[in-house]
Amino acid sequence: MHTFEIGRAQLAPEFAEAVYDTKEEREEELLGRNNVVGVGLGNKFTDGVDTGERCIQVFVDHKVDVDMLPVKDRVPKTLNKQPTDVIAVGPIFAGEPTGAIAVSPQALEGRRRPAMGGDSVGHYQITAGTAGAGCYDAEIMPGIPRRYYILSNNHVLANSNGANIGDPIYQPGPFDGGTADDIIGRLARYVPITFDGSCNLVDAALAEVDFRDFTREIYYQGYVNHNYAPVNINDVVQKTGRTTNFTTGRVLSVNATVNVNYGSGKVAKFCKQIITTTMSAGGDSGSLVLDTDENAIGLLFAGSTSVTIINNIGYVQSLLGVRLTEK
Amino acid sequence: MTGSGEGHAALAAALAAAEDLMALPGVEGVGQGEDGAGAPVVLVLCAGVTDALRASIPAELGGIPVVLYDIGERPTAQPIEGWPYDDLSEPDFM
Repeated sequence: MHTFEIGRAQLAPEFAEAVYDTKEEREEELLGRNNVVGVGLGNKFTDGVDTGERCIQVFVDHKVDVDMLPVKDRVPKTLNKQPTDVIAVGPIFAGEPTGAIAVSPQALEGRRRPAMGGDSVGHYQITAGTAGAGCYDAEIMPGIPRRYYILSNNHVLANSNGANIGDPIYQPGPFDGGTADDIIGRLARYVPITFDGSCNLVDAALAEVDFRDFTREIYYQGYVNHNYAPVNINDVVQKTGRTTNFTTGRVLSVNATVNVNYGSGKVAKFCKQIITTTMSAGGDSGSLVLDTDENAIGLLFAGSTSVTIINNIGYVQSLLGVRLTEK
Repeated sequence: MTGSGEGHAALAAALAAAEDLMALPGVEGVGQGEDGAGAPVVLVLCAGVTDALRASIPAELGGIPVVLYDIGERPTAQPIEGWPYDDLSEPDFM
């Protein structure tokens, strides 16, 4: 039975046991060395290039010339014949960064006009989520779009099926101080979420906005390149969201079926989902997820302490009848 | 296996069978994953990997290996939590 941890499962079989076991065996010893702040497993980089060789990663506060270190604090090039890679990561703190260049946690919680992808937004009866991106009706291509929308989640713009079409949408969301003076749009349509054990594909909704009040640019990421790109396991993906700002994650699973908690005892089953390493927190719901070429791959809507759950953007656009870009 | 029609069919069948595992307490999801060599596996997403789950979940489904993955707890929709929803009255412009 394959009950090993995923960390080991992701290593090449012929290499997995030796490097994994060596890391486990020597971890405490390594952490005891001056300047070492962490130990991990990954690929070895040489001059910034991924060599593809699995290794034991040794994270240090800063790199020091080996001659400057006492022998007891040096990191050998191999441990039990397994290669090591020393990576400088700076000091690690629990909690908020304290450096002068730390990103403000409130960076995307304010009012902005035109608002952007990544900004706080929400139905007037919810807390706050994220405005994912701008979009327009798919059928108007080529042609003259008459309506423009913010794309986000049902539970952000439609209060988990509890809203009426035309309800006001605040930017920022109510939790971030949004009031009736901050209406950016009105709920236009949404895909209802079912809580009866049947499969949901998306948690998605649209708010219609004035063209001048929302730009298609996503904060820190720019413009979406293509409407859709296939996503593969181990791909790196990115998003900008209201709470955790710009983050990246690695795809763990596709075609996933997962139960999601909506509070008050309500659980919805979602199928055909994308699962990534954790890249979100409360308030990031609605973020558009892109690959590293800025192609749309999904709509973020849920997560646990260790994973993030993402709707496939193909289903989102198809079911809502919109498109994000012309390509 | 991933490149053949037969492989796709086997994986699809394994994923379909894996959904039955969601009836087990603590299993919150299943999905397609890969091992380090790029071969397909069935990921079983667990809110804590317990001995009981290990004993209940098969090593493979239709020839596809099954891997347990601990996701901590059931995923939650991610708006900001803690807002007193019920205290909000309708705005006066409605």
